[in-house]
Amino acid sequence: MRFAMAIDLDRCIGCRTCAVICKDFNAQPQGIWWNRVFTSGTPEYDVAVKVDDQLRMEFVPISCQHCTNAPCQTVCPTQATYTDPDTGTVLVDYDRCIGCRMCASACPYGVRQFNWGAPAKMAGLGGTELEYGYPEPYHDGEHLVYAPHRPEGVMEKCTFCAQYTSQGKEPVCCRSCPGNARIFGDMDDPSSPIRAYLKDKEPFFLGEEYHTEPNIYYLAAHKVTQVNQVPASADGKEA
Amino acid sequence: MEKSTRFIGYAGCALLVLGLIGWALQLTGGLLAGSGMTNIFLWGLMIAMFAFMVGFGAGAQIVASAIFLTGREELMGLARTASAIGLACVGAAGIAILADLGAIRNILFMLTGLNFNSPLAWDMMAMTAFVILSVVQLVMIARNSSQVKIWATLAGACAVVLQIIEGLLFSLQSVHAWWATPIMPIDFLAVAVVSGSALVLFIACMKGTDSTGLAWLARLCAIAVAVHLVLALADLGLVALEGSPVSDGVLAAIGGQLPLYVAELILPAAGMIILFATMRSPKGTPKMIASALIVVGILAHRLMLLYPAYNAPSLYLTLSGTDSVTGPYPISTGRYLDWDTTFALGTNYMPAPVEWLAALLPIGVAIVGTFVILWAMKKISSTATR
Ligand code: SF4
Ligand code: SF4
Ligand code: SF4
Repeated sequence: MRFAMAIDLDRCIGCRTCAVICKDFNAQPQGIWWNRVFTSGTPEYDVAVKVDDQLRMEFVPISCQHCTNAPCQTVCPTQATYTDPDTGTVLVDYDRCIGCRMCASACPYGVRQFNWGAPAKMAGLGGTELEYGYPEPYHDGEHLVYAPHRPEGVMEKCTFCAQYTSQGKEPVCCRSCPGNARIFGDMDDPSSPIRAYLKDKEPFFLGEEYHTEPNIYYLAAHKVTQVNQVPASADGKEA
Repeated sequence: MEKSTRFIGYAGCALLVLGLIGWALQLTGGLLAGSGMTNIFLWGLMIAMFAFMVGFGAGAQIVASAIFLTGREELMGLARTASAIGLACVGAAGIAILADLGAIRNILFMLTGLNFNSPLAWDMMAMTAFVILSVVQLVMIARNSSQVKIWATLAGACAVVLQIIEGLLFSLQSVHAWWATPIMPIDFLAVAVVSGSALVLFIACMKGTDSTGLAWLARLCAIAVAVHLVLALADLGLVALEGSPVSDGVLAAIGGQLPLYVAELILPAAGMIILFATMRSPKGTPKMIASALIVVGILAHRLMLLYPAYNAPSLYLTLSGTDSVTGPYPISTGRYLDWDTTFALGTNYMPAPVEWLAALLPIGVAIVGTFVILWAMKKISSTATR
C-alpha cells in the first residue's frame, strides 16, 4: 500500500476548512497547525495577484508531503521519524523524539510543528479550555504516533490521520472539504479513488528542486472562468 | 596559582552555576518555552554556542597537535594546556547540544535506536571518538610518554574529521541555501583553526611565552583568519550570484542583520591585520587585543550561521499557468500563545533572558573542565614520577 493524496487547486475555494478540521480532529495544541492554506504568488492569505492585466487568486493547501525520500527521516538521529512500511506514511513516534528539531530544519515544506513548551489546549470563552480531537492515543505497532494530550518538547505533523485511516476511514480533511478538492487513496491500488481521479491528469509536486518525491499530487488551477480586467487607472494604486 | 588564573577559575565556576540555573529554568518552565525560537527559527543561541565551542575544542587540539608534531620546544607547555582546552570545549559543546533538546527524557534512543544516516549520529560518534583519543593523549602527555606524538596526531586528525562533520551537519540541509554549499565544511575547519589559535595565542600572551613562540602562533592565526575570510566571502558570492528567489531571500535576511554580519567580517579582519603588523614584536598586548577581536568576530559568525538560514523562506510557489508570479509560503510559528503571530515568513530571533543564562553553561563547563583536566594531569604526572 502507498497512501497518497491529490489536491485539486481548481476545486479549492480557500475556505481553510481542512486546516481547522485537521487541527480539531488531531487535537493540535494552541499555535500548532499541521495544515495551512495560503494564496499562491503572495505571502498573504486571500490576496489576489495581477497576471496579464487581470487579478487571480489561487489557494494552495500544504501539509506534510509524506515524501518517499524524506529528509526529515534521514536526519532524525533516534529513528523517531520513520516511514510506516505498510502505508508509506511518514510518522513521528512521540516516545522516541528527543526534540532536537533536526527534522524540521531539514524539511523544505515547513510543515513540522514543535511543542516549544507545555502544549496548551485551545482557549474557550471565560478562561475555559476546549476538549477536542480523537480521544484515545493511537499506536502504530509500538510507536505512539497520536496522543490527544501531547507530550512536551516533541515534534508533530500530519499523520494522514493515522488514527482514522487505520480503521479504513478517510482523513478528516478529505471528508470535510466542501469543494471535494482533496482525494485520498492507495496509489498501489488501480481501483482506488485517487488513481481514478488522477487518470489522464498531469499532477505536479511542490519543491521538486529538493528531490523529496512527495506523495501529495497537486493539480494545477488552469481554468480561468471569469475575466475581470484591471482598469489601467488602478495601476500604481497598489498597496 | 597566579591571581589571574585563579580569577578565571572562579569566573568559570560562577558561569557554570548560572548556566545550570538557566537550563533548570528552561526544563521546569516548560522546556524551551522560555526562548525566542519558533518553528521558523528552529535553532538559537545554544546551537550557536555549540558550534562556537566545538570550534574552540577542535581548533585547540589541532594547534596542540601541530606543536607536538613540529617539536616546538618553546610551546610544549602551551600544547599541554591546549590539549586540555580541546577536550573541555568539545565536552562543553556536547553539553550545549543536550541542553538544547526538547525531550531529553528520551535521550537513551540515541544509543538504542541510533540512525546511522543522521549527521547528528555522525556528530555524536565523532565527538565520542575525539573524547576517547583526547583522554588517551592527555594521559600520555601527563606521563611524559614517548607515544605522545602518535596520540596527538590521532587526536588532531579526529579533530579535523569532527569539524568537517559539524560543517556537514549544516551543509547537507539542502533546504537552506545559506548552508548548502561545499564551502561550509571547509570553512568549519578554517574557523576551528582560527578559534583554537586565537585562544592559545591569548593564553600564550598571558603566560609571557617567548617571542618566537608568539610569532609562530600569531602567523598561524592570521593565515587561518585570511583563509576563513576568503571562504566566507566566496560563500556570500555564491549566494549573490545565484539570483533565485531563495538566494534573494538569503541576501535580504543578511541585510536584516547587517551590523552582526559586518562584525563577523570586520573584527577578525582587524585582528588579522594587527597580527600581521605586530607578528615579530615581543609585546603581548596587541596580540591579545587581536585575539579578543577575532574571538568576538567568530561568535558573531556563529550567530550569523542561523539568521540567513532560518529567515530565508525555502518554499516558493508559482501561480498556475505562469512562471513569473512567485511568492514565499508562510509557516506556522508555533508561538501564537506568546506573540499572537500564527503564520510568518521569518521571525526576528532575539534570545530570551533565560537563553542567555543557559548559554553560559557551556562556557562554564569549558573553563572548569580545563582546570579539572589540568589538575588531573598534574596528579597523573606526580604519580608517574614517584
Ligand atoms: S513534507 Fe517534510 S515532514 Fe513531511 S515527509 Fe517531507 S520532509 Fe518530512
Ligand atoms: S525532533 Fe524528534 S523527530 Fe525530529 S529529528 Fe529530532 S528526534 Fe527526530
Ligand atoms: S490527512 Fe489528516 S493530519 Fe493530514 S492534513 Fe489532512 S486532516 Fe490533517
